[in-house]
Amino acid sequence: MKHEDELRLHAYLDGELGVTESIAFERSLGEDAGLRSQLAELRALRARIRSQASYHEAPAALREKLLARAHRQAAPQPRPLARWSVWLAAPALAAAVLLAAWFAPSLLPGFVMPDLRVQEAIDDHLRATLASHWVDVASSDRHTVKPWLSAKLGFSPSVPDLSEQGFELIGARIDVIASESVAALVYRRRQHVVSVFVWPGASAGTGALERRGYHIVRFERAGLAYWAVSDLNLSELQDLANLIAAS
Amino acid sequence: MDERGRRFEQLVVPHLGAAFNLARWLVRNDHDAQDIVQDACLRALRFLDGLRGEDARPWLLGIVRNSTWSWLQANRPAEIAASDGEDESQAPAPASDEPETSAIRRAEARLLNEAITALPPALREVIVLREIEDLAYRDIARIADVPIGTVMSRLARARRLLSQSVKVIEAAADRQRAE
Repeated sequence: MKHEDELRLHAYLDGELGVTESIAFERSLGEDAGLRSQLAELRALRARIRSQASYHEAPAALREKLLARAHRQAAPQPRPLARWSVWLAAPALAAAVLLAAWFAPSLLPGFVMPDLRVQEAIDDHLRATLASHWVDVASSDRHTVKPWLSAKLGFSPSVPDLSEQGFELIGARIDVIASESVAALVYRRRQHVVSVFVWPGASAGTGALERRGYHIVRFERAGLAYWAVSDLNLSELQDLANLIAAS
Repeated sequence: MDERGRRFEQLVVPHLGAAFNLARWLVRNDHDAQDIVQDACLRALRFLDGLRGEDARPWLLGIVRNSTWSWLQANRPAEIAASDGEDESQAPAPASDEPETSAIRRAEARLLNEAITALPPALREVIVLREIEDLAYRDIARIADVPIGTVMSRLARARRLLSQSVKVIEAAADRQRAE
C-alpha cells in the first residue's frame, strides 16, 4: 500500500477527510475488498484500545493541591497602581475609538478576520494533501500554468520557474478563501509540497506565521497578495517567497 | 478578587485528568507523572493570561507534553534517543504468555497495555491523544509541536505496530481457550 493511501485510510477512520474526499474514499472502499478488511482491522484495533487501555485518573490530592495553590497565589496580589489606571485607561480608550473609526471600513461585512483566512488557507492546503489532489492543471511549464490561471480567474499571478533553485513547479489549482476564488500555485521541495495562494488586493498581514504545525509566509507583489503554505521549514519557505517576490 | 484562581479552576482543572493520563502514559509511573503535572499546571497558571479564546485542553496538554519530554530528556535520555519513531521498530512482544485462565479478558487488556507502553514515546503519545483522548489531528499536531503530516505518519506507524501485537495477543488467547 502506498504511503499516501495508508494515510488516507487512517484519516478516513479518524473522520479527518473532507466531504468530497470521504465520498471518493468510500467509492474506492466499495471496489476494494483488501481496503475494506484493512479498515475493519483498524476499527477493531480502535475498539480494543478504547475498551481495554488504562485510563490513569489524576489523584484527588493533586487536584486539591493545585486548587489551593491557584487561589493562594491569585488572592493577595497588591495593585498599587489601581487608582492611576483610571487615568491611564481614559486616553487608551480614546485611542481605541480613533483606531476603530480608522479601520471601520474593514469591519464591514465581507471583511474576513486574518485568522479565519489563515485557517482557511491551511484547510485548503490540507484538503489537497489528504485528497492527493494537488492540481487542476498539472504542468511544470509556467507558460501553461499562467494562462490557465488568468483565463479562469481574471488575474495573472507570477509563476516563476524555480527548478534551478530547487522548487519544482507541479501545477496549479483553484481554491476558495474567504468566499473568493484564489489561485493556488503548487511547488514541491523534496517531499514537501507548498501551496502558494494568490488573490488580488491586500494580503491581510505580511510576514511569517505558524499555525497547527504549518508555516505561512505572506507578501504582496504587483497588487496581488501571496500566501505560501507548507509544512516545509520556515527558512526554505521564506526562500521560495523571496524568489517569487523578486521574479 | 481572585480572578486568576477562578479562571484556573474553570479552564485548567477540568482537563487535569487528560493531563495526568498523558504524562502517566509517557513516564509510566504515578509518582513522576504527578510531579510533572503539578509543575506544568503551575506554569499554566502563570501563563493563563496568554490564553485568549482558544481551546484550553490542547493548550494545557501542550504544556504538559513539553514538561514531560523535558523530564524524559533529563532522566531517561536513552528512551528519547530511540524514539523519534523513524526506525521501523519491531512490534513490541507482549511479555507474558501465561495469563490466568480464569481471566483471559483481563490478561488481554494487560497485554494490550504492555504493547502500548512498549511503543517509543513519540508513537505512544499520538495513540494516547488520538484513541484515548479522542483529539483531532490539528490538536495533536499542536500539542506534540509537529506538522500534521508527521502526526499522520506516526499514527499509521503506531497502529501498524499495535496491530501486530494484537495478533500475538489474540493467538495467545486462542491457545488459552483451547486448553
